[in-house]
Amino acid sequence: MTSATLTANANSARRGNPLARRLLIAGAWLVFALFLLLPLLVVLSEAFKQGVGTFFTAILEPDAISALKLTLTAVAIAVPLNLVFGVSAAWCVSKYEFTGKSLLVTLIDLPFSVSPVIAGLIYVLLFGAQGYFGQWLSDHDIQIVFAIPGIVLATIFVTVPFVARELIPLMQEQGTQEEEAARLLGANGWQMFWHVTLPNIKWGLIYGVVLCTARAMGEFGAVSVVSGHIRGLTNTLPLHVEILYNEYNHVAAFSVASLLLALALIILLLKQWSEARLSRLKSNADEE
Amino acid sequence: MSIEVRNVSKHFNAFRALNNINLDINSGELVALLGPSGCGKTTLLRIIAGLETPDAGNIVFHGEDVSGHDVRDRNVGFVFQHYALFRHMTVFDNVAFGLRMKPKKERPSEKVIAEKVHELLNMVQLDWLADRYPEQLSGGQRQRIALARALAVQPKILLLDEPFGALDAKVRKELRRWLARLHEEIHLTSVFVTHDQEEAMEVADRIVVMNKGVIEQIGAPGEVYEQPASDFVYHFLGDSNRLHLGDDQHILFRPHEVSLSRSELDDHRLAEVRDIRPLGAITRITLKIKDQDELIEAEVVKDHDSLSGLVRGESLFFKPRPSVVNGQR
Repeated sequence: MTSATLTANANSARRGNPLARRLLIAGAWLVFALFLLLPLLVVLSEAFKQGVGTFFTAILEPDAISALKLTLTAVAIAVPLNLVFGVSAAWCVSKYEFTGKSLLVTLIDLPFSVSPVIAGLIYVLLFGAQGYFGQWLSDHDIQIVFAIPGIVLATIFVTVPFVARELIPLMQEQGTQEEEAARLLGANGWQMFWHVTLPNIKWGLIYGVVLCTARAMGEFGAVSVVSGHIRGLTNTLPLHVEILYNEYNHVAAFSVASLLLALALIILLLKQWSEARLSRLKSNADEE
Repeated sequence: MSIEVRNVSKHFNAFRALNNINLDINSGELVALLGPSGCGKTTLLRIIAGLETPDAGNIVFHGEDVSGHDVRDRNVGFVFQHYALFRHMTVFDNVAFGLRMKPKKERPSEKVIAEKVHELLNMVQLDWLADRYPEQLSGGQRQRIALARALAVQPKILLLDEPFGALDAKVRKELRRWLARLHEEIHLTSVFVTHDQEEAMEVADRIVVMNKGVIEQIGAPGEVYEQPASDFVYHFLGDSNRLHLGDDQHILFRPHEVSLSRSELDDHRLAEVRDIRPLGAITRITLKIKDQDELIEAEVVKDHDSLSGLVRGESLFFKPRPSVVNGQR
């Protein structure tokens, strides 16, 4: 849900009974504090329980650094690929009529409905040693499962919908007339995309990319299945947190978790910023 | 530049949008494609522009078959009903767009572009809005900017798709007169689509009346009004009354084609006044006659003799004077 619709809901609620309004707001804050704020505080307090020194030791430890690198690598590959895929898919769906269009839209949503663990298992089934392509892959000395390619693939799978889902309604709403106008004025395909389409979808695109990034960094289930949990090699940050936690190394686990948290907060700020721009754009369009 | 439309047909799935259309538009002419919604007029315009591909037939510009040419090579100016201005660009950048998109060799310098843009903005009398964004403009202003943008690349043909359709009545009237004057100055071959017969009559040199994917009639405004080729054209170009004569016979006549009198005259029929509507220069009187449920509308000048002191419920005598003889249709 975008902030624009939230604001609209708030506006209609404002006309209601003031007591009910206060109760609802208080309830929302209570839930927010109990289920979101409190855990965050616990994570931070646990991380710093034995002082700043221990915190930094935990996050500067080689395995942690390697997990951070792997997470960022997966993000750096998955997000640009999804950016390209998302823009292309949204373009096809919103600007052209073709058979199988609704099937494509449904398929884009598939990763939302399939459990990430199953997504991971699919890749093991396909590319694992006993999988369909396992023999061929090992003959050619290519390792996908329990290696970085598998982690990247799993990350791509779970983050596919984010960019496309954000762009499709936006591009459908904007229609094709500005693109037609650009072509009539002599712009070629690339000029049209760069000067007309891209500026119009810019904020929606940034918003989608931010969501995609957040999910790519935090993904646990699918990556866990394909990773093999090889320390220093195929551990992403969320997996590393789990391992530390299972080893009863709570302080280290929470320290690394707070690193992940810091990344998430940066993403959240970016999201807030792009969302604000997007809703401002939408309200301008509504005024027309 | 002249436009020839040769045997053009177009289907959208099972819907036949255009059926074997043939049309010649002379160089410098201002032609209206007039018809109800769904008659295919916009599809025809978009096919001329190259935005749609016909299933069959050809488009010829000044003797050259452009059917295979891409939109960007046809050099047509196109104005959309909803303006289609680039929302993230200023008015200036919108108008400059076409010039800036030219290949490097043909592209003028930014200084020349700026001069050209200001010249066009002056022409549409909106130079003072150069730094604004489309969302800050009124509908009439946006449409004039859209026109300036289309003219910036010096098109050989100007196509306008319901250019005044989204504007309110007063602005629409001003803008269409302004367009007619502009056309007199620049004499660009122009085609515009409209469903408003008054607009077509007021602006166009020739009117192409379309219905259900075919052309019903092509002619000057006076011609299609005075000598309609079909019932459809007759009804579409203005209001009409039907007067039954008995024996399944009737005559059709326009509201102004009527003689009214307070006193009984030869061949005049008695009617009861149901409504009186002063509409400015003319007044419309709704009449009810005895043997017919359909009401008759008569329009006369507002200071007509028969109107003085007339109130509802009174009697009037009227006689149709149709200029078009189409009694038995």
